[in-house]
Amino acid sequence: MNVFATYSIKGGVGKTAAAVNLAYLSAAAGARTLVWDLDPQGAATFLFRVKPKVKGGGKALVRGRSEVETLIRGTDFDNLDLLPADLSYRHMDLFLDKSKRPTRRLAKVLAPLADAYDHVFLDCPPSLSLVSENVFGAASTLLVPVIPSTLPVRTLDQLLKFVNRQGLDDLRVCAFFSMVDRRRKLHREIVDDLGGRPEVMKTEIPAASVVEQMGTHRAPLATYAGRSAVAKAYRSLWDEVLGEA
Amino acid sequence: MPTKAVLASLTDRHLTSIEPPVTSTRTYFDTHDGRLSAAGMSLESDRHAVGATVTVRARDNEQVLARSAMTGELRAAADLPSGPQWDRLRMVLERRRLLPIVELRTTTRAVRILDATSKTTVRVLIEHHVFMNEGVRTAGVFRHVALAPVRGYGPALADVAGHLHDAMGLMPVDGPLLHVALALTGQPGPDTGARPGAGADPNVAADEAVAVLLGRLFAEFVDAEPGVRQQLDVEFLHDFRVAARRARSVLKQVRDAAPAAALEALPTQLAWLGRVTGHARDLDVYLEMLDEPDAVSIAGFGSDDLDPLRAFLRGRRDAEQARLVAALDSVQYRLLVDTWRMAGEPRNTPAAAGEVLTVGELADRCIARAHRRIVKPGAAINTASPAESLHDLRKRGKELRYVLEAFGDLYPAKPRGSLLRELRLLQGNLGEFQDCQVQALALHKMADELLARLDVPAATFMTMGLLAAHLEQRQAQARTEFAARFAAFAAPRNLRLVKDMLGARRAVGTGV
Repeated sequence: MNVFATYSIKGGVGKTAAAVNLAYLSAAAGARTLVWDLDPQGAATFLFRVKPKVKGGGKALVRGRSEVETLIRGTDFDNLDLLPADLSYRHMDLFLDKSKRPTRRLAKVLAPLADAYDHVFLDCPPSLSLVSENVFGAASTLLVPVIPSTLPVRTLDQLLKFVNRQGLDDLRVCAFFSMVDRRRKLHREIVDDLGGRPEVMKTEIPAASVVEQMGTHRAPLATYAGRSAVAKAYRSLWDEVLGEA
Repeated sequence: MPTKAVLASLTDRHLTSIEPPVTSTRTYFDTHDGRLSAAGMSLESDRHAVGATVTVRARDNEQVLARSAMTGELRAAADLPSGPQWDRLRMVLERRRLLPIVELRTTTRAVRILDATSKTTVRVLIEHHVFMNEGVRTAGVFRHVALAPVRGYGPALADVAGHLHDAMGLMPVDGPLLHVALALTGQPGPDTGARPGAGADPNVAADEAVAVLLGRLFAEFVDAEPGVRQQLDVEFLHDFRVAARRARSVLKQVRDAAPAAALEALPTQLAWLGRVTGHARDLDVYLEMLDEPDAVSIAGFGSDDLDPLRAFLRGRRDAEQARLVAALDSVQYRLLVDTWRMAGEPRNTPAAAGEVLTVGELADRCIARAHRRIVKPGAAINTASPAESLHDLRKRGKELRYVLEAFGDLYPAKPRGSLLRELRLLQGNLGEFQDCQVQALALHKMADELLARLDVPAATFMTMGLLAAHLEQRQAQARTEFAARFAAFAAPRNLRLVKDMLGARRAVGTGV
């Protein structure tokens, strides 16, 4: 089971769009795929039209008092399931802190699903916290959307330093430029300057209103704008991520 | 029940989204010996206008275990998509050919049952199936309404199922679509590889039981013949020869109980068949040897050093196939088939009483004799004994195995199973010894033949040499291990096992 986590300290950079669209592509290719919406905002859960409710809440889930298999919901798409968000996830740090092995709890929740799914996508809340440390421990790949401007790039550097300091050698960091507007000079300069870095994917996800329309359609891009440039970009990104696996 | 009626019933009651009809050709596959069925799986390909998919499911509940886009034909494990979810299937299939068992032309109308947020909670698939035969429509049609559950929405599924039953009189079918289709076509279940036996009643007249056994072996034999002719996969020829070899061995061991006409002609005919099919089988084995991990490792992963040898062997195999088919078209073969068929026909002998030999008595005699014929010569083999003495012992071992499997149902399962296990271990060692010797010698001979050709690079010969040396090393190792392996087989506890097994049957037979 490969675990991919869309992660960024900053919000609004395209984590959920990436998680939902890449998970859809994974499922469409035949891989049994699960999205775990860890963000109490429940954006991925909303897009998949699932009720944002987990019986027993996040506390019971991370403490092992709920069986994770019973909480999963099928989406409208073959091979694609969702472990929904729950409002109680806003206290996830507290639940984890009070647990044994607090940085390994999310991995433990996922362990029983190892034979049931080929790919798991963790849609993470924007933070640097105990939840993030759990995500780093559970994931094999961090997918990090970066808007090509100064502060987000600085945040990426901070993340890479953190991963390094924690000795997370098995964690692959795949940063990719998100919401790229090539008409803007700063975007062009940053993408061109940093595009050669080994942890930065070659594929850029362009800024596009069709991505915002995901909230209206409540569906992945490929189902209503499959021929758009941004849908093609997500396909290219997924191929690139897999190619490097 | 017409599709329109089902659609109307659903849309009247639920919020729905109806998808346009999709037509596809669905083909279910399995191997000749039903490996997928035995493993609890089903495999299907779906071809439609925009492409094709291949799906493997759990056979009992149709849960999708893996699905992928498909290009090209699906003939064997090598044609399956890559990925860990397909690897399990590859392990089950090994080298067996995938054969279509049911082909359907299906028009599907999918209806999504939605909740208040337009979330799909159930998928209803209204399917109209036409049976196909090698791509041609037949007159056989049936309709099927499938409910595809969405995980976590169990109550919605139960509600729709209840409605379809109450309002439309649709009854749930027992089992998945494949079972329904097989039942409608009256197809028997796939052959699950159980060995043909003489039955479990020890009081049946021996000649009657032998006829039953020969009849079952004959059925296996003719069942494999089309696959041999079409060269579908290597196992067909192997099964074909094994059935013939077993029949020949049974005739040799049961002598008094076999029909006189069969005894007169059939052994010679079967020996002829063994000769005319032997070279083709050898070539299959040599080709398989080149794909084994040892050979791949010696040649180097991704290396093409052995490709010239493969091409040479494939050419030989193709030529041999033509000769083999000609033998199967011959009068001699037809005579063999007729003789064997007659030998397998019921004698209608009344239940044995008094002086008539029973199958229980015959089985005891055969097993005891076959066992003695291993133990005594095996004990005489030492480090100075020639290789032929081990090859002969292997033949004796096969004879014991054949009679144990032929008459096995007459004996308690535990001692029989233990004896077979010990025998398999011994045969494994003897088989390793002989096969490695034969294959190493064959490589030397092939090298001589290839030398005459100018297009074979030196690397091929060097790799063949390394492979032959490796086989000779394995052979030597097997020889070293023989003494301990035989000692374990012939240990007093195993000798008692045979005695106990035969004694237990007699005790059951006499009601003691």
